[in-house]
Amino acid sequence: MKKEIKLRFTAQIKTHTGVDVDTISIDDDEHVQVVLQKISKRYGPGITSTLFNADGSYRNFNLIAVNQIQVNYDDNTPLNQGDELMLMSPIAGG
Amino acid sequence: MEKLTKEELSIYEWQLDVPGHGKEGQERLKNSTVLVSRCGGLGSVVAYELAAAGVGTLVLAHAGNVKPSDLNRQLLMTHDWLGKPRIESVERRLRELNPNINIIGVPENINEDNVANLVGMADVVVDGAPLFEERFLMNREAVRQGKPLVDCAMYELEAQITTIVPGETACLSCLYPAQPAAWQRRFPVFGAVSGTVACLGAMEAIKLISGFGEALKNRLLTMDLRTMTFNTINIQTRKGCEICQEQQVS
Repeated sequence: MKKEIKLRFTAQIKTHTGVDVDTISIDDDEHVQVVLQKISKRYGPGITSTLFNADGSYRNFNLIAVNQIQVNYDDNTPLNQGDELMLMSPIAGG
Repeated sequence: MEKLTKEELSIYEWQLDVPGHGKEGQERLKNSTVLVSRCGGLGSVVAYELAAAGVGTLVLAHAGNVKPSDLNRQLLMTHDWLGKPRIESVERRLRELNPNINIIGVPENINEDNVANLVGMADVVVDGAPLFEERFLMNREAVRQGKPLVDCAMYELEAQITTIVPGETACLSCLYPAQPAAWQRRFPVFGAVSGTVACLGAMEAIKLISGFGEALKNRLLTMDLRTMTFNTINIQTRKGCEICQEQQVS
């Protein structure tokens, strides 16, 4: 059974995706890590290099939140129908 | 603790009536020191609000000379000071606003050589630096010394802020374990965006010092001023965070 996940992008990640909100469909047994891989495929090289190293390992400098709660990539948090995954890149001052 | 003078009671009359603050809170502000890292778009307004509120000593770190491109957001820089040291402009503007406070201007940005000393001078640190090297350095030192750090950031019409209290909350490295591979030093932003999050940052510092309200502990407030969408992300200490582990060991 498919689940619809809401996506929200901020700051520089938004410049790679071109949108600030979207939805993505995943299978029942697919979790956060699959969503990030699907995001990478959907939006192309800019977002791919933000999320992953050349060897496919995760680049650990983004903040991931599910339903406004921070989660760790390594935990591969399960997702439910209608959940929101927010992907934030670090920003600074100036 | 140094008491408020008759003049100060008059100047701060309106905020003395804020529930939970009062004379005691104002005296705590008077006897406190806040370090502001860089007085750019964020730090200028943080410093201005803290000076207006009567924080007794401001330690302000900012290198370089005033450039035309500073003027859209760095509100303590002025046209007549173009080409001259930024920190002098900062000190001059703040003294115009509040001649009763101590201002320690440091014509340097935060670096490995000065960070321990500067953080050591402060009760609270507010970070508005543009480079992640500085931000992570400040985070490391604030956690090491057990000093609260208000972390403010912005990009385009977005901004975010959290308050780091060592031993109680996630730190910057818990949120972002690694520095971003690519960060554009120059990025799109309006001064009204930096000013918005800077005022929130000043308020966080005031609350921490005075002792009222609820600081943004383990909460990251994000805002998108394009849509006026505000969210609060619940954040947490990251297992394996080297910075937090170092603090626990010491």
